[in-house]
Amino acid sequence: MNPDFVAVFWKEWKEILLERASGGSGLRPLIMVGLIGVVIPLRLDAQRYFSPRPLLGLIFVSLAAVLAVVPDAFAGERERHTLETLLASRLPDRAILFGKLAACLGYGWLLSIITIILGIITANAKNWNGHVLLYRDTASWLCLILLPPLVGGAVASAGVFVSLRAATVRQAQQTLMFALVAVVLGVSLGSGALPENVRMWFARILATWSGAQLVLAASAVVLAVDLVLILAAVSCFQRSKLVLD
Amino acid sequence: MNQIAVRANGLTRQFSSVRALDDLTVEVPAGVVFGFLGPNGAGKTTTIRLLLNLIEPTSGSAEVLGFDTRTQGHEIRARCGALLEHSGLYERLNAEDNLRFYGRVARMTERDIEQRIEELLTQMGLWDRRKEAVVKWSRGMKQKLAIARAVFHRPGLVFLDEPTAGLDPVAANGLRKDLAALVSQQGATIFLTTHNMAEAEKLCNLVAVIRQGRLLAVGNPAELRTRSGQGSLEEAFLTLMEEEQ
Repeated sequence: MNPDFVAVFWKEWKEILLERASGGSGLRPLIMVGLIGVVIPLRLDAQRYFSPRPLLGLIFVSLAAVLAVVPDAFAGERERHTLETLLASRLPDRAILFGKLAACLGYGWLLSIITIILGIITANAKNWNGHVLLYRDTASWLCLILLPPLVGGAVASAGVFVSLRAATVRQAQQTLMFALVAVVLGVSLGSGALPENVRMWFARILATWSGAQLVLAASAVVLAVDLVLILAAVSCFQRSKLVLD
Repeated sequence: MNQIAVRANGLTRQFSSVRALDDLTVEVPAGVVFGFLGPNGAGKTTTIRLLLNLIEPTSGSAEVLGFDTRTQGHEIRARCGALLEHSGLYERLNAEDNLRFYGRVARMTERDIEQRIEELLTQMGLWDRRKEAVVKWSRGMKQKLAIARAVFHRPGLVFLDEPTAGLDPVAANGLRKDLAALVSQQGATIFLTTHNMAEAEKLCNLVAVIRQGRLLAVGNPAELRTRSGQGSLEEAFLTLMEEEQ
């Protein structure tokens, strides 16, 4: 692995963990880990817990965790006056960009894995009958494996893109939240505005797909979004602009 | 090694209506402590940014350690150390981790990094507090650590942008002593900006005076004193400023 990337990843990872340990607002995702990894499996029976619907909560953990740390990526360095020194080092642009992106994504992914494991342990402890209970269908497993990193990746790339341009962490957080709300509203209002026959045609197609195919299709869409946002962040990364901003 | 560490030829930088640097032509021989003197807003920081290729010149050219700043910025940044306007320290991290990160960025071996951490922190009297988060340190200690970071990978040229600014006289004096010791041990070229004439007189073999982006004089401190008929560099500097007005 590229040592420059590893150096940036290591530094970012340490900063993320030290910030969490100091008890800042970044602790919120940990509360969510407890809620989704412990409280929900305690309240649901095993059959419902190991069905596809609660999986959305696991994706949300990844999203929220990345949202908590990514505004700090560049806006935080700018605010704390460390960015110019970093840019004056021999680090290539891409090592800085991808090291930061990977650290944010890794944090979100790690928390979603912890939540999954906690959920399985809690559900089994509550419903123990001599057999280990797990997700049964391929779609659920695909969802567990693919969607947390892909959704986290989309938020991380968008966050880095926003953070590159924001003057402060707060500004980056607000812009990112507005963007997310706009995307969610845009998708729900946009799909509602489609003509009835188009929606029916689309629903008929989806109905013929298996759960696994649906997850794979959703993953492909999110992956495409990830790539577009990463390319936007790469093209936005200019040392002179970052220094003068 | 190249005999000229820095060569600027007609270097100019315009920011909209402000000409921050105006046709700077200067040569800094290798192995000297070069003082770049001027009042606030004279163009000292802009010059360092241009020489490190953090920003592009509007016109003119410059070579640092034999590399063209326009096309070989990466080579320059790999061979230079820098303490810029702000200390650029990661305050959540401890002193060791701050140095370790920049050692890894410079691709030093882990063994060399550990040895160098001990050597520099001991020399600067910071060894006993190496495990503390830098946020708890005084400004003087942070500035010492920032200098240790700038020279950590034994660069051929070190840029120091007002290293004693904002320090009390005792801390500034201690820092100057550390700086002088480092310079004599490492034999590196130092490019130091300051508006503290006493500091320049103590540390520099060669000084240049700049005002409103234009170079007013270059020479060793004794030459500048003689040329202006003054008894100290500070008086010589003030005379130059008055003549320019």
